[in-house]
Amino acid sequence: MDVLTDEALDLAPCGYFEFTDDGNLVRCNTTLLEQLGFASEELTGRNVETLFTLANRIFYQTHFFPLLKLHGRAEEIFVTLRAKDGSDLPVLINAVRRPAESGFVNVCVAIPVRQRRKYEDEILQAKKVAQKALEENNELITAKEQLEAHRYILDHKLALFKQRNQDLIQLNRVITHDLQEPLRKIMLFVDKLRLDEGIRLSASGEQVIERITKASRLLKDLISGLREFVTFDVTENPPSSVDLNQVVAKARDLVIRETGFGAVDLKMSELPVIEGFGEQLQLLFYHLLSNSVKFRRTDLPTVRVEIRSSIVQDNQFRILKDRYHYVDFVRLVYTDEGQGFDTRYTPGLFQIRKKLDARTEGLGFGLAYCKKIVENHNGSISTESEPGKGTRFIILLPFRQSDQAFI
Amino acid sequence: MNVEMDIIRRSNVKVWGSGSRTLLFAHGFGCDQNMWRFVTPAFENHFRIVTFDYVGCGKSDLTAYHPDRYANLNGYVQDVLEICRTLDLKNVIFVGHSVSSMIGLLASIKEPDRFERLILIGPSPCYINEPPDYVGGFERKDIEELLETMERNYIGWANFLAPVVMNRPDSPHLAEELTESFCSTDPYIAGRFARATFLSDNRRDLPFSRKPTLVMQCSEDLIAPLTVGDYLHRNLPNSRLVVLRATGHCPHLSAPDETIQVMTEYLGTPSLN
Repeated sequence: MDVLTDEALDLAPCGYFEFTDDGNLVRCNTTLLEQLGFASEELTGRNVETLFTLANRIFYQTHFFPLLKLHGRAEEIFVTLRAKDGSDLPVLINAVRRPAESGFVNVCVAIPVRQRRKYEDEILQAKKVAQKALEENNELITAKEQLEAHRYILDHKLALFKQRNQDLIQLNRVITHDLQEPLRKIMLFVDKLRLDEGIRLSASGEQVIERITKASRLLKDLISGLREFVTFDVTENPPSSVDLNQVVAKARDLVIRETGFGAVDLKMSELPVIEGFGEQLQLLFYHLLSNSVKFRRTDLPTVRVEIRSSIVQDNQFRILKDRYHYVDFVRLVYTDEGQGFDTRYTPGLFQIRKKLDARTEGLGFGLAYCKKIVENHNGSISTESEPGKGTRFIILLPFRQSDQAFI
Repeated sequence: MNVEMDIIRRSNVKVWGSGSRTLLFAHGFGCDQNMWRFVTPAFENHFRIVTFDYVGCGKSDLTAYHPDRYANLNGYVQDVLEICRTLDLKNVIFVGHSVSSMIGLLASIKEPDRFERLILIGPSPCYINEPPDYVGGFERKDIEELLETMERNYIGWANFLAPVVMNRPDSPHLAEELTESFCSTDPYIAGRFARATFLSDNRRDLPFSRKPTLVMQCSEDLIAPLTVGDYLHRNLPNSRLVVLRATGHCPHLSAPDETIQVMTEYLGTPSLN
């Protein structure tokens, strides 16, 4: 390290040092060396960070150096230097960048502020106490206001829920009884027409009867499907630990058994165990897999499905604005190589009876169930697809179910 | 004011340059988008450039700062994703410095389609040591001392933060821009950002990363030492590690030429996606 030729600066009552942009200590005055207990050659070729405590090295990298580089100077920066014996030396630094023979040199003076620091400690302490009191007070006021607002919203929502629940009960009664009864009669009379020996129908008459029968059966199935869907909700049982690997495997077996199509090639990473409703989650994968089989590409011998999982943190609050509580979610990406669909249809895809292909079997409740199940778990489901390239579902499910949601 | 404009203004988003690919630059703790000024000119003729300030930093809208949202890195991840959504960005090349490396990584795990690859400058998945298996470089008490140093500097903070018109002999054309206030402005927010940064532990997230990643490590960086770079490289699938000749934690400030050169080389390689 170069020695200062200017005796006045070398022995000035302040520390003086210079360093380059890559951190090399170029010069140092005797005052600083004495204050820190180093010999000149001990600092030769060393990095300027050597002078700082570990924590202050972070500060140097994140604040001091960027400030100096971007502004060209820094004033009254408080840092703690570290002496050779490990003791601390609090100083205030003024620094300026100057052009040098090659590039720039950063010139600093440091004045010890041991006494000042004691006063500052007291000021800081008092400030902290005041700040804390203020924050708590502000928090309390905000919390109170929010609570008041939430109470009102909650009350309003409860009223709406109550009304909707009554509507549902009525609807359910109409569906289960009032709608079933005329239908039963229609089917009865049709049977009578067909079986009654006294009535002879023409060939076209027979056809009409056949179609009435078919339509009535579909209506009957739809009514019972709708009833199940409406009454399907959070179970009485509290959520429990569910191994998603098992749930998916069971759903797959069920789909193979029901469709008679065995060539389901399921590739998945190790899925986690999450808290939830096992039967519902099994139904979720049942519907997804069942769709993959139903809408498989006929030119491929197998149905290939991949499920990949990762862990992400997401906000637990889904509706309330300005509320944040991040918790762990499993993010599942379900991909098949089936027929896929046009993204135009995405918005309504999870609604009941939004069947994209009217020719396929099934009532069109599958994806509506999927959405209902995922939302029962306070999760989310979205999809994207391209005709001929398969379908992808992205499902987020929280690892834990909050207790309050099931009171 | 619609939501899009709100986010652009809130995060002080700047978009310029020309090219079909987008470079999204995310600043680190302690600074703002100004710190990219030495690097971005090299790319603006071939890329669309996006820079921004995290909420609570630089010239962002401080009233949008919500303590719960930014209590950990998740709120900052949200900032990045909201900007991507607002600008309808897909397949961006994310360039993150320091803590922004993990912020970008988490964003790419949450919404993979938004990202093509990641360039991480001085990243660390965890700053605190966890003996015997992990050396992050710091103990908790070091972080407490850092917070204290920051607080002390905020006592006479006016000098540190006030807009200063500077004479910049090395690049006089920048003088005017430098009237912008420097870096973080609110001591309370800066302290919380420091905590969110240095107490973060994202080691478990590394294996979920799917994007090609360049880890740029400085040869002497105490905030992200070489052991941390090695750890990242071992645990990040699809990653490449380059150790720069540059020292310190801010190569884009101290050695912009080398930083640009390494980035350019990596950007010339085909995406592995």
